[in-house]
Amino acid sequence: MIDNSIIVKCKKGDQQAYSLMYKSCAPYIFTIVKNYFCYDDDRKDALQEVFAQIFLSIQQFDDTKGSFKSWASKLTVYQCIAILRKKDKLQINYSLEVVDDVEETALDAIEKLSINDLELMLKNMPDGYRTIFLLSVIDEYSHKEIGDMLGITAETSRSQLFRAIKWIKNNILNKPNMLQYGLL
Amino acid sequence: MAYYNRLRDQLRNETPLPEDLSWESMQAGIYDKMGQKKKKRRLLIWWLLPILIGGIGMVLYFGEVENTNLPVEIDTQNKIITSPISKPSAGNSKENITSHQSTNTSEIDSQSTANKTEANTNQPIVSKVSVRSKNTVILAKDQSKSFANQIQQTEQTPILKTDQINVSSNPIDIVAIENKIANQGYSDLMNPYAPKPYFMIVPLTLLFNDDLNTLFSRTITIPQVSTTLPAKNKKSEYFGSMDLMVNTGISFWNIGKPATLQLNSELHKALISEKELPGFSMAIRHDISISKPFFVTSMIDYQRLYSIFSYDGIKTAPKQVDDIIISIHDNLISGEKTYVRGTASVNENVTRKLQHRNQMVRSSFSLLPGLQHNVGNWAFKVNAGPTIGLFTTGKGKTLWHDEVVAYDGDLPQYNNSIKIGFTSSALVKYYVSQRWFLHSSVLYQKYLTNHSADPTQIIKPSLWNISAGVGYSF
Repeated sequence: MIDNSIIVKCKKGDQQAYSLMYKSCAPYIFTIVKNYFCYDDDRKDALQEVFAQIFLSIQQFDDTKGSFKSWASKLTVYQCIAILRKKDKLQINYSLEVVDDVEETALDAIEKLSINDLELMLKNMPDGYRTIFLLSVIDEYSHKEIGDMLGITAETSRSQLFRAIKWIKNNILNKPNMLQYGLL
Repeated sequence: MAYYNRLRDQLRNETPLPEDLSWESMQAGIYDKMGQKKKKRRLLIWWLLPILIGGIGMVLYFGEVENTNLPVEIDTQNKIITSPISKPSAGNSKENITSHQSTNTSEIDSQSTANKTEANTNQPIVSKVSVRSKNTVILAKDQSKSFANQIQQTEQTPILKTDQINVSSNPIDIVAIENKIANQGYSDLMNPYAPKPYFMIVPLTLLFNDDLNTLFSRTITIPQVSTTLPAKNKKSEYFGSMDLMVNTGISFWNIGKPATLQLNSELHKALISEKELPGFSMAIRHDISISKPFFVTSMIDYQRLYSIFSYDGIKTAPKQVDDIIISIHDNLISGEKTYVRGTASVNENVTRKLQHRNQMVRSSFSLLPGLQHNVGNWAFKVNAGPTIGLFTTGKGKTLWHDEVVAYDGDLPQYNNSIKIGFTSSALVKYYVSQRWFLHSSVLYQKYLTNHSADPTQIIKPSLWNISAGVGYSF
């Protein structure tokens, strides 16, 4: 992904290295950022925030503990969540509803959508649901990890994922939308 | 899951960066955000600093309150726990939960025995079950008129038809219930879906049973239960109580008179000095707490102090010599010599140079009121008060009445009156176990009365002492 010498130079605060790192990493970082934010302005702002954080925190990167890519992607996800929180877009609906094992069956239901359509659908999802969905399904964080990130319990995370999938089913897999997307 | 793998791949598929997100157009924004974040970090540090100082202050202030933790007491005087034991006469079992109340009292209560007048000793039944405790919900039951009669019947004869069990001998059960309640969060208890403590659920389950004939009731009367739980931190109990300490340390002292004395008389020219050397001390200290944070120290200390006495002088002493030839008469005519003998006085100059290591032993008693402050395992004490010099002896050499004299016992230049002084000390102690502690102190002692036997000379010694030792709290 990126040459180690660039990382070393970035640690020293070399602005030329910043430029090289940005050019090297920005496409990958942007793929993560664009999933969490729908609007271009938000994505641009988030990308700047993420790189500012990467440049400031790169001293803490230790290549013996993992690759730069995984470190950067984790930092990106955390930064995206921080921005969403800052903008008060992460409204977690705290419920005492306990969801045990509904994900697999619920997820099966949305497999009828094409990948492109689902990607489009995700943009229309409420930020809270989308965040949980992305964290759990796409970024493959465990519910415990998601709970730690969002300051909620693992049960609430599980419940939110269930609600997100339910939202997809209710709002996308309804008859008019299915007709629109050619699912019927 | 292949679908989601494909979805994952698609969402993670790197796409070319849009033009407006190139480094050239982004770098200004990135550097700006870096500056903002750095500023935030600096601000955070400046915010944390006063918080840290405030936190330390609170620890210092409230540390003392925490240390005053008294043993927890649960008093369940005259509380009765009632649960169903006997068969009812009628099968009116429909009851509704009518009120949910919250209270902050800490007791387990039943109202089944109060002010009942009618008598039917055969069919007692529970009228009301209420479990009141810290932050708990009271579930009370509403009775129909006929059911109320049954209740009254039950409660009229609690002694004959119910088992009375005095649980005062087993207070642990009460404590266990109390702890379960305390552990339950307020929101959990207010939430109807949240799990309830077993003692809140079980009585209601019994009461909702349609067949009340199968129910049994037992009245447990607790006339007086006073259970004392051990305090959480036993160490804090002993902070500020009676302490016995022994310590030893190094003493630096000042004789309290000019270090050098120059004599320049006709017969005696000398330079005399006495320079203090460090000594050591041992002390037994007894602290009694009066009321927090005040305490009184009574202390006996023994000090062994050293000094170097130097003398460098010439002493001229007139000496009378008897029967010496004082003149010779020589007769030049006869050639005869006559020797005249007599007494004559001559000056004898004695030059003396000496250096001697003196030793002084002193013992004193101090009574020092003071203040103490506890923080965790640490305790800090400061105190000050009067000191009485019990005895002072020494061994060495000194100048006394223009003479260098040796002494072993009372110091020649000291009077025998009671020596009164002033002592102040600061002590820090650290508890290594519940009762044993290590301590270190700094002590300053200044004698206010003149030690000198010569009223024209003033000797008021002072002393600094740094010591460490062990102590035991009672």
